[in-house]
Amino acid sequence: MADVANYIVEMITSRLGGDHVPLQLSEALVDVGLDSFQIVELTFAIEEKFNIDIPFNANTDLESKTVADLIGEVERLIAAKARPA
Amino acid sequence: MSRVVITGLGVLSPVGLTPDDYWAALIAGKSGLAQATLVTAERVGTKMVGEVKGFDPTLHFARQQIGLLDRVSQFAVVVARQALAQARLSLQDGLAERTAAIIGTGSGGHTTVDDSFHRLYAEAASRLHPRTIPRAMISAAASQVSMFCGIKGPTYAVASACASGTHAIGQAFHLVRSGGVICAVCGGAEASITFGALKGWEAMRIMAPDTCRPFSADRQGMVIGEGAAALVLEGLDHARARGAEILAEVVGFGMSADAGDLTTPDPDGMTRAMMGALADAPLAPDTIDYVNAHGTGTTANDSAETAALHRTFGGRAKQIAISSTKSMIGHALGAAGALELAATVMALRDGIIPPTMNYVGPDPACDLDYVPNEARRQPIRAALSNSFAFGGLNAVIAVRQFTG
Repeated sequence: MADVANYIVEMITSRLGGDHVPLQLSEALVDVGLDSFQIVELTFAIEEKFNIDIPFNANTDLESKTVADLIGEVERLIAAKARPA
Repeated sequence: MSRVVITGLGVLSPVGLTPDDYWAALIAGKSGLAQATLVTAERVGTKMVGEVKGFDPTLHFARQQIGLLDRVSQFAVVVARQALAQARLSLQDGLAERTAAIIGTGSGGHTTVDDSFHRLYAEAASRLHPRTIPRAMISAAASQVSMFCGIKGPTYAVASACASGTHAIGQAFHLVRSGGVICAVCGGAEASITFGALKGWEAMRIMAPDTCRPFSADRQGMVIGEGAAALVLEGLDHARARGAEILAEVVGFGMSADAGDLTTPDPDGMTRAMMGALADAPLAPDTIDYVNAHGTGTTANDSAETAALHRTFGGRAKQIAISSTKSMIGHALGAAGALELAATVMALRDGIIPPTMNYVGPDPACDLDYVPNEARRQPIRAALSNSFAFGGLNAVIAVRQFTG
């Protein structure tokens, strides 16, 4: 699952334009420097990459989740998809 | 009531990517109409369009910015920046809050809609990019002009099909005249040469197979164009106080609706819009020396517009120079009125009337002076710019030489 973490970290740092390195996995997405629309775009990029649906809308407080939380959630969704129904 | 002057222009057109290049091409009678390259021409019946050739967004925007901007918003921001630069207007000291941005567009982010829905329907994509709505919404161009130029006053889009740009400028004019704002960046933008839109236009059966021949006996219809134009409108006192160069004065705005047929133009509605602009100024009909006509090149528009010019101006109609610059740039829909007012302003400034190109001979139903095929040097005291949209939505702006 290291590739999931690497991909998410890379997607975040590329959006920050090198202003915020190194990225701390314990930081909340909003504190890392992503604005709300960048978080929406990040979610889209992850969904496309791993072909999963991240349950997230404007009422979900994704912004205060940490980078590690996001990685964990994505790994869980990928595992759930791989498991036979 | 404040007098309202024009202190800046911005233009992206099929014949030039700046106001100066656009104007030089128009008075030289240069055509920007050619076979479509933005869409696969094989599947389009009517291939002749007016594209903004040579527009490179990377010259104007960073890569990340381009991702957020449909072509129509790119156009709008570029012309707004040009107009502000020409006006040498810096939105400091509270001016940003007292400046409006009003941008007309007929269909907004049409490229985004076409591409996104193709992914969804034809490629069975399961999700769309989150930028789809921010790029496609009809107010995107107005929002982006506000954000890129730092305009913090009244900002919105105006949609009235082919009259959008003229309605937007008229609204901005009234807002500056009333003192509601000190300055406005206004105009129109359109970039809807997409496969979906062209097939829609084709189905209307009003597209010319060859070229656009407004008011000419053998005219066969319109040619779709694209582009954008912006004007900086400014209260006269403000423009004078900062020593701005004044290009022309906006004096009147007339609007009307036909409340009739969806596509058949009505000379009565057109007449009321022109007379409304004259009354709003007020301007005597015999001071109008030039009309930049809606002149789409369809049989119905050009004869109805001619009838309306007779009704509005009576015996004076035959002495007025009338031309359709759509003969060179096509019909840029929501941007058309802004592009045409920009041409009208430069005509006033230079005393040169741009021609109606592709004119081969008179139609008995179109019996006025259309300045055929060659520009004419002639002083202009005051002029009208006409826009008459599908759905019977009419808008006319009156401008005159600024003489102090």
